[in-house]
Amino acid sequence: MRRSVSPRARGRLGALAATVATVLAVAGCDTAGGPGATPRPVPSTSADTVTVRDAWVKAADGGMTAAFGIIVNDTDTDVTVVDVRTTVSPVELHEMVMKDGAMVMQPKAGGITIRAGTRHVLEPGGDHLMLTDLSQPVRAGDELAFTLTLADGRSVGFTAVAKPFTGAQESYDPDPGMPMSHGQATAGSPAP
Amino acid sequence: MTDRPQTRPLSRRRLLAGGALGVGGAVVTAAGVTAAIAGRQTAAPSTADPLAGTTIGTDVEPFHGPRQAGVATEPQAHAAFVAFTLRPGTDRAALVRLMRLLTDDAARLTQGRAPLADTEPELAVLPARLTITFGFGPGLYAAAGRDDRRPPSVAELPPFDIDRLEPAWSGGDLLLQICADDPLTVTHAQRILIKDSRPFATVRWVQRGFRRSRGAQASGHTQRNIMGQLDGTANPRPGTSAFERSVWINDGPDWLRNGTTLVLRRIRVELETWDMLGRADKELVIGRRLDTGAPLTGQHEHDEPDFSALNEAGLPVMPDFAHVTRARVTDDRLRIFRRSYNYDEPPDADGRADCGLIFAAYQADVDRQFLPIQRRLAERDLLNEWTTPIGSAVFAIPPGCEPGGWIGEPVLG
Amino acid sequence: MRRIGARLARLTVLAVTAVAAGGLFTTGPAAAHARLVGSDPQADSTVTTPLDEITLTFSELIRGALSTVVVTGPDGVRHGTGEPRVVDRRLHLPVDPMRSGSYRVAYRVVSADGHPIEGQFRFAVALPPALEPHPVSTTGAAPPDGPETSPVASAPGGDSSGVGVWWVGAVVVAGAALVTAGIIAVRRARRTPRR
Repeated sequence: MRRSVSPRARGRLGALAATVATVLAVAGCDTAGGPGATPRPVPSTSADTVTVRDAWVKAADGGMTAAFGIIVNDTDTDVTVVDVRTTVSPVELHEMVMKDGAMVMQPKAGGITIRAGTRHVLEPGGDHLMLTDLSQPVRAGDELAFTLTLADGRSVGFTAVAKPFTGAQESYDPDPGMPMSHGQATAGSPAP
Repeated sequence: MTDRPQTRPLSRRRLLAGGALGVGGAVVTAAGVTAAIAGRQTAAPSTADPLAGTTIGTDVEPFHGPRQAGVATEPQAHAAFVAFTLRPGTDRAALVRLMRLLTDDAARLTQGRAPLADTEPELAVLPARLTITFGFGPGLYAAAGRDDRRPPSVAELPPFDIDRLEPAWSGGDLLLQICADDPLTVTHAQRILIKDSRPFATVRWVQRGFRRSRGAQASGHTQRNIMGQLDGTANPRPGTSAFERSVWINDGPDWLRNGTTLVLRRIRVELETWDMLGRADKELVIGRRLDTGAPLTGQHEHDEPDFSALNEAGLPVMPDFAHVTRARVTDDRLRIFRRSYNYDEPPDADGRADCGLIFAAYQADVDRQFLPIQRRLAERDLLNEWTTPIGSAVFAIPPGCEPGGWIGEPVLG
Repeated sequence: MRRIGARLARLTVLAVTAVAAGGLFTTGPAAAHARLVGSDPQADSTVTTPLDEITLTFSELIRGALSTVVVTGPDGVRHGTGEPRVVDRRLHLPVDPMRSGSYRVAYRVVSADGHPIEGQFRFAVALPPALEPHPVSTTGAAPPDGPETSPVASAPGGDSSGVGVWWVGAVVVAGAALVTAGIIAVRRARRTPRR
């Protein structure tokens, strides 16, 4: 499995190299080729671990964007994600809530708890990782390294691939009247 | 993968779970977790099983393997051929990102799983033998600075007198051949793949085609085209040594080996004038019987034509101008493999048909195999009277990839 | 263009109905598009002078590159030489020297609108012995006089008895040809088989 991030992103990754080593099944290395009669095999390294699968980030030229995926807790204890980091932007844990008849997003107080043996889906319209200030464009096909920090101090690294995406425009709670884009989607942009 | 991969039905359990979940493009497949998040399901599966008695929707073709699927694969009922023009500035690094995105989409879609960021994930759960085959046009090699890795015969075809090529149906830097036994599956895959291609390329043309529905007749039989002929009788059969020699590139560097080439021609059929021919004359033009597909010198479809046979008047039974006579090839290495689809656009106000063939020919070497046949056909194939090439494009079909790899890696990596 | 051609073809068909009934055997479905309207030698005729080419005349333009014409002699040997040459509606086929006997001309041509036209007819050759080509067939039908010994070319008609003999032969040959043609006409009234 050959994974890489964009050259620019790679330069900033030194500090995170150790956690990136734990990257598991992510976009582009979907290994399920076996008969459909058996459930998709979970990588053996995920046993008794917390992993992030099917992670992706919305491509954006700048500003804000968001990342999504599935946090899988294969341990027998509940875990709570309290922090998330990536190289190209500050990141916040966000949730979508109904306020005044509209879905808006806001920082998720207390982090995201994933009960033992379950998974938690980060998706447009739901909980997600908010990249609040991109220092460089996230181009379609780029791969960003992320690190989750759990309440017990453990780290979980994963890679998210950038997808052109224009769906699920959400609003940010502090200013519910202003629809806030998760960065400008790059679909249709003239140069990759 | 083998030449005739066994299709596999998806597990019903997985399918129903995936269909009901729709979790932002992430179809969950691990059984334990499926149970754990069952509470997210918005509706339990109805008591009437929508999949009872059929696996046509759930059958799966392998995606990973040394060769791309969609060539030796028994032709699916529906196809979309989508050609792109690379945007200026799409260089090799961008092409790597593009091909990794598209490979991931294809690996998931063909196995009945929603790709990342799929806004309609429920449409992904019935792959119906979906295959997604990637083709590289000459422009892609140039944009990547890798023209030295282009199969030498992958270039625009020389002009033929019979051609009436329209730019709207010709050329292309990147091709997606999307085939499935269900048209909605094709539509969904096409939408996904185009969305992920937009930062890199513009859509040049799309050709939608069809064959008989799966199950309408037993598989393995030669199908009829819209002219009513059995079309493809002389094809090398997947799994045979003839197919190996004629279709696949069996040696050379790893960006060539296990690849092939595709000549895609949009051939309009002049049905209005074809209809004016009598049945016996149609058979003379083709060189085969319309009912059985047998050569005019034989009794059965797969009888070898006898090009030396004379009728009692002394004329060759197989006319010199017959399509079969002109297209005949005796050396396996010179044969081509046709995997064509029909197209049928709306007729004009007077009811004149706009239909024809999306003629797809695969061969290891266009110059060695396709062009000699095409020259003989262009020279004196009487069928030219009722067929008009209006589109033409040539693509390399690069080798397949293993899990974790991506299509085009030996070319672009 | 094609519609006009088709109308012309139909008119022509009407005009040549009598000729067709007299022994031209064209394929049925192609008749609406183009057909043989004449030939040299004419169908079922007997020629008494040497031939070096056969000419077929069609009701419409035909395509030279797609034409096949086969001339078969009494010995079963093909007599056509080289490729047919097409000028407008006429097709010319050079032929080898023909000795006396019955000949069959089979043609498969393509009209301007692409329709294949197929048919055949017969004619007879009845040459004076002096004009029989070399070499003489070894079959028993050859005249007793070796042509190579006959100075006929320089003195035509000089041998009255010879003239009588070849006239008898010509009548026999022509009669046989007509009978054969008649049989074929009945057999192929509907269509020339293509197996």
